[in-house]
Amino acid sequence: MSNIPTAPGNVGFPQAYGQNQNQQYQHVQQFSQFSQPSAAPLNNAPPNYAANPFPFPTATTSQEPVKPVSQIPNGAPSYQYNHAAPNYPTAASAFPAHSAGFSHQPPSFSPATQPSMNGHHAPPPPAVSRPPAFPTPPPSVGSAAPSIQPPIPSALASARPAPFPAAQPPPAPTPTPSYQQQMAPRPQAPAAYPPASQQQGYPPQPQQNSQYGQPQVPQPQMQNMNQQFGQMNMSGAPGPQQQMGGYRNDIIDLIAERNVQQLGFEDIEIQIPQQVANPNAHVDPNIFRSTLAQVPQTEELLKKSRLPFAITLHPFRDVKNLNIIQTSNIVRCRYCRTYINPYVYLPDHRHWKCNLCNRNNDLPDDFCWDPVTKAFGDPRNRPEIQNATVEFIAPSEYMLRPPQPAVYVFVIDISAAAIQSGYLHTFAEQLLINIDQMPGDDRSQVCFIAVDQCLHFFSFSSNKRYPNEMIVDDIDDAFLPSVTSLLVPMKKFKDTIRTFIKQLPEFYSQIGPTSNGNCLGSALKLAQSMIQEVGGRISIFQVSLPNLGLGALKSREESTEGGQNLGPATDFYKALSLECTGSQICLDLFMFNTQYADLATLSEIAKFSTGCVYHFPNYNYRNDIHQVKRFERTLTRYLTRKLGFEAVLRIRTSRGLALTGFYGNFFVRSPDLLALANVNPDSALAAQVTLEEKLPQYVCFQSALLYTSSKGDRRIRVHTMCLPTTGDLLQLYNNFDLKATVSYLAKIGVERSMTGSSLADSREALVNAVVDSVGAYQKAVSRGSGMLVPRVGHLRLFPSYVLAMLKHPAFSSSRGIRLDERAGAMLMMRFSPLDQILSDIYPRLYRLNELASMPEDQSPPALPLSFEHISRGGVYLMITGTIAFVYVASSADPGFLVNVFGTSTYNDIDEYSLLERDNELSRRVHAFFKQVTQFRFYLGPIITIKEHSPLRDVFVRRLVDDRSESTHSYVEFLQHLKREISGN
Amino acid sequence: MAFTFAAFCYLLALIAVGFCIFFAIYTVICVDELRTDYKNPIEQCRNLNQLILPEYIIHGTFTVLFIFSWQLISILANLPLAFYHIYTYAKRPVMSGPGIYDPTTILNRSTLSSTLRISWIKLAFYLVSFFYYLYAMIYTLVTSN
Repeated sequence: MSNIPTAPGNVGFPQAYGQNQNQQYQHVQQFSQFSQPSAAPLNNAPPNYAANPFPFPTATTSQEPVKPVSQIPNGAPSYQYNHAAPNYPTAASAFPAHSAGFSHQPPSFSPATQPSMNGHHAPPPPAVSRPPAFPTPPPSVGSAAPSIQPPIPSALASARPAPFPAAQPPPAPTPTPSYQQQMAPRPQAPAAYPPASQQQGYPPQPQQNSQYGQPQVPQPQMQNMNQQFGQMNMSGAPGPQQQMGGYRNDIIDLIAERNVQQLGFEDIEIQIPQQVANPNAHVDPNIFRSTLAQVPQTEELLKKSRLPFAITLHPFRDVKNLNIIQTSNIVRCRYCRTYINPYVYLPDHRHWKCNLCNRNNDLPDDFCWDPVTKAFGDPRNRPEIQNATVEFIAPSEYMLRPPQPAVYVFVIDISAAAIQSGYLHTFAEQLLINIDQMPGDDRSQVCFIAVDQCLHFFSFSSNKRYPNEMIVDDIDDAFLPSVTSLLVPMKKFKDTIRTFIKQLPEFYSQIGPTSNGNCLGSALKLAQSMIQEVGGRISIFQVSLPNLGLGALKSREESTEGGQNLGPATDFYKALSLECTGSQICLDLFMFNTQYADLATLSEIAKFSTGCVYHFPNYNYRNDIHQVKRFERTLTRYLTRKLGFEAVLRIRTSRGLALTGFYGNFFVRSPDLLALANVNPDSALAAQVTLEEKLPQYVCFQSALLYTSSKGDRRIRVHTMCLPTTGDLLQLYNNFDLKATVSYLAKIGVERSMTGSSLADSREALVNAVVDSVGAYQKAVSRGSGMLVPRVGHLRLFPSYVLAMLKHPAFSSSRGIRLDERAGAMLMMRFSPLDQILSDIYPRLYRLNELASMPEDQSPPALPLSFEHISRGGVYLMITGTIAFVYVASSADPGFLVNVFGTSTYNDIDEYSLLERDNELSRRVHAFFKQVTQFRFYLGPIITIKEHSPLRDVFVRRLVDDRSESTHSYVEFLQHLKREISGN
Repeated sequence: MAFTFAAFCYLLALIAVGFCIFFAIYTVICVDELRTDYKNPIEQCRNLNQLILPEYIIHGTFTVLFIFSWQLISILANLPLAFYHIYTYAKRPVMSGPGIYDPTTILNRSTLSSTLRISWIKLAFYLVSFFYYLYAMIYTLVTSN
């Protein structure tokens, strides 16, 4: 007893540190236990039997010793007892266990080395004791057994620690891991021994309270502990106990909880089963993602959950360290043609079992050949087995024709409105800079067509410095004025092309007699006929409504209610798009309109030809410098990004699953095949999934993209995703992936709004998605009051993201949004990948002042989007999908201002003050800018907004948690949802 | 046996519904090929759309004839289908040519299965109608003495 008073002071700091260390160990155990459920019962029986003789004597003696020393004896004795348990199988194991106990004493005297030493010593004792106890199991089972064994005896041992504290004073670090182990299986003990649990249950409570009250623990660590504790409790507890415990620890009430954002928005970890060939391979979640990280095993379970089930796929995302495989024999399933992947089953070195159709296939002899070691090795070492994303260089049987060259056609609007907007200056400037970086080989070709009331073609010849301009004014029956000199090789005519581009803005700097109209439809028809034998990309730069020639449109913005004109007015552009897809031609649209230009109809050219639509409303190169900068950046990315030609994408699923709808910009060629005339790294799609049969333990999705690279070779990029299945309804909510869901709901809402459904229907569907999900969850946990959601997973953020979607220009019910701006916002969502969609719907808000006081390697957390979190002395950074703001409050800290903006006076700040200056804080601020805007290609430059600036409304409008003139605040929205759920 | 206007209507309907049966069979085959044989959806939709207006006009014609000859059972049987045809044509996607099938949406799995189901239902309806019209024509001829 004399030792104990000094120990608490010493133990305080190491305990917190060691506890974190132990959590990781505990997490590993949890993972292992989950991965080997069939092995658990076998290992469970012996420990139970061994521990049974002890409960009664320890129960009678445990009450009295536990109370005087509530913390240290509870931890230390259980650890000792854990070592004592292996004594019973064999006497020989007693010696190694004892020596392991001694080895723990030295770390207690050196805190600096304690964490690593503690982590190192935690696993060995079970491993040492297990092999003698189980001599007969095969090696593979033996390796799994030790990881299973430790939690079980600890669970029983921790309930009865009493006899040892008096006998042996414990080492200082020993209590920490055992104490953590004690917490996890606590609900299990009361079920087995009710009388003992009544006594046992009381003492741990104060420890738990003091644990949460510790101020030294940083917030992220506390957050991790909360999640870890909830997860452990969930997996360890029996059903009835789980429900009771879950309400306290695992469920939060959104109306009562003010900081759902602070709990984080990390990706949900996928638990891949162990029997696949490589359970350590994970597909990048930004490439392949499911709305449910655990798939329900039956259709009834999915319907009961009311959760959407879909996948999002980004097939041509820029990938670092892409594994490129060149082989004459690509290994595929004979029956369903699935490419071999990490999630197949390898019974031996000669066969593999397909993970999609469950049939056996032969491995070719050369599959196991390792070129590095020049010997036959393990098939698991092949890159196809090691990586969920691989790219094959395709042999010749994957080609229908020789690979096509890169062909670029630029269709340029030169009508009066286009000349006034001045976009040609930026276009010519950026094209001149980037024309050498455009993807392609020596065979690349380029063509330019200028469009107003007439068609202007440019004939290049090698002996002239300028091309000849040829004008076709019969636009209803237009024809190509020349056959060979309009589409020219870029390399051969490089100088002439560059001179032409440089002079382009001056050629069309004046409004001419033919500038009062635009015949885009005729131009596109001719462009398509020009390159239809080869394929390629047509880039359209448009300002005016095309009111002449083929596909002429009339203004219909004010004809009826705004929301009803999101569908196309004519099918000319859709038919043209389908013809272009058949010819492997992609049409991209850059729209700079200042007046109504019927973007909803024009966008049909991009939808089915795998194009993209970039909208720059009210573009003017003198008056709106931010739009110019954004166009510059977008165009630079557009011209220089990777490109794949004549592509097809096939998505295969495990048996029992089916893809029932595709959303994005492509043409559906057959139920599982998408035709993509061109493929680029900035396009993504979503697909709805349905269940058709009862599912086995895990399911897989595989996407195979066959394309021609700009260097002229045919390639196949394969992504494979493996997901576990579950029959537990609550696990579905815990593994609900909101990032995939928001992306999917945005795409499906856009699709329905632009194909005939009214906007109000889409808005109602978004609200119903939340009402159904949260309502079904409350029914599942049998709690009728409040807005209850699980703490883990993403369901708690669903209401705020749906509210943000309802306020987004695409779906907003506000009258102030013009029709083309709404269409532009919708079109961006239809093809964008999910990180772009998420940031545009719910921007990220950071308080920059915290950078001054933070350690070097940390960054400020994202804040909820409410003016409640905007203080009068703060400087804030907000990043949306297309614009970034720095908001300066009027009473901002002068010290911060002088370092970052160069002046300590609020009034002196202007839009050019935010430059990187020669001091530490400015460097850190700009490093933070670079960090959060990485890979954001459509983001304009950062705009400085002062509190009294006219741009303030642009910033305030993005605070989606606050109420505005026609919409709910976040709290009001929760109340609305609560009433909707109660009404069901 | 007197050849009445009603009998004439049934005779015409017999011939007309034969064409409708052919159209329905053709639709079933085309849609099934889309689902299983990876046919080109643009060409399949073009072929299907060519038959839409003829089918609707033929069916509308003998429905109107039944109204003029006041054959109550035939009117009650065909009027819902006629209204369905009008509704379907009014709700079709924006298209410059005739037809209701859009190659960009037909390969949606639910669209494909509902189209196939409707085609089977119409085929069954036309077959039953054929035999009913045959019976009704003979009955009309016999009872008109």
